[in-house]
Amino acid sequence: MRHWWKLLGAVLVVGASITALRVPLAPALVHSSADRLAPGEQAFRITGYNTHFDQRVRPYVWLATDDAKFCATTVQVEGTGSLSATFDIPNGLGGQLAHLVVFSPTDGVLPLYDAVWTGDGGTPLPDRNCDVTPLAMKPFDFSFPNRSLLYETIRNLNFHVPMWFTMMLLQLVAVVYSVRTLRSNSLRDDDAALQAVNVSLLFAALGLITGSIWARATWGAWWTNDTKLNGAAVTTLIYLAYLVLRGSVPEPSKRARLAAIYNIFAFVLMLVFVMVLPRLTDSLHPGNGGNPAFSQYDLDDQLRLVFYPAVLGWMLVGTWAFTLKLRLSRLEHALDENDR
Amino acid sequence: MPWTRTIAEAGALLLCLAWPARTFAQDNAPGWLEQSLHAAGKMNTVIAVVAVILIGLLLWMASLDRRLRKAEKRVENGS
Repeated sequence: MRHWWKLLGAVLVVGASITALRVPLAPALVHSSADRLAPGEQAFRITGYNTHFDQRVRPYVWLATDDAKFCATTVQVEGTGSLSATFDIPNGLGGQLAHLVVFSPTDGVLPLYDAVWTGDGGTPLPDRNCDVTPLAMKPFDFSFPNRSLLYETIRNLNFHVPMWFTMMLLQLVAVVYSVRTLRSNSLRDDDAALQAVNVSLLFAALGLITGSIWARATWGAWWTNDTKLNGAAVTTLIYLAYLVLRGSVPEPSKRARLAAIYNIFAFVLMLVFVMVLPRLTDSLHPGNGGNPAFSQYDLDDQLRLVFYPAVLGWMLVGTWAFTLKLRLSRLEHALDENDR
Repeated sequence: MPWTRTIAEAGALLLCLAWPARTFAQDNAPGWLEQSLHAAGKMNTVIAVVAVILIGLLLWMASLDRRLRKAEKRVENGS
């Protein structure tokens, strides 16, 4: 079985893709009907996503600030994804943002951060404890982190990011062949570098388009002038210019040396534009300046458990695509030799 | 394969035609795109992303198919 790695790649991609689409999002609160407190009796209608509220195992609701925990007087479950909590709000409160917290034994502790402005008065939120000690552990359930704005699109991590990792791997392969070209002056090595760049551009295109769709759904724009996005676009242009450069040099061995040198610089520029510069300035894109990567949401490693196999699988499939392209190109060159 | 080329060209043409309309469109009320992308907890965005990857790979395979067919023809004619 010389081709085991192709099978492994296919199995990993299929398995990770199905898992990435099937795993449910963790329960979370998505909406509260009121966002500021008014003195007197006040009812909040709280909407959850993938929650399992159940009146039989009574959920608790409270408002939380750094120093106080103010509990609802009554909590009424309206459905698995909706409950109503009534607070008895004293006069004169104000000046704080409070989190709305639901503890349900079925779903664990669900916070809606900075959900409520306490009003225009000056008194801080008092303590009104309901003596519930939430279990520290949420009930075990294989699920992806549920983040506001992202919601289900967190699954895209397992599709969009592996495209870029595969592109980088193929460009690394291209650099290795370019260095070999400079040492060996072999047109075969030069051709391998070219085919690796060709396939890397397919993955760059997929990365750009999938990223653009995700950006539209999350940031509201197909493209933003962000260092990460522009860096990725410039990288793609640099590699397109590699193809243009090759096209403009007719003499094969000269073309091979020139393209090899250009390709080494292109790889360094790719690393700078995609990995270094976005980390030095502010960026909307996760994992870059001022913006944490998804690893911080992934407290129990459940996203990683799908993401790493997806990356490895796509890298293997990308390598497979590269070998197909290379074999075809070698076949064409052999035919050219025969014709001569 | 001439039809893959036709599809690609038709797609490019549609994109060019749609582009100006999109640039000048006013985005006050959520349009059909928002409604569709944001539906079901934004699940449709994931579907779109997966579809793009599948379409990209299939188009790539079609281009490989075309080059392979040319090479096969040369083998048949040459030998």
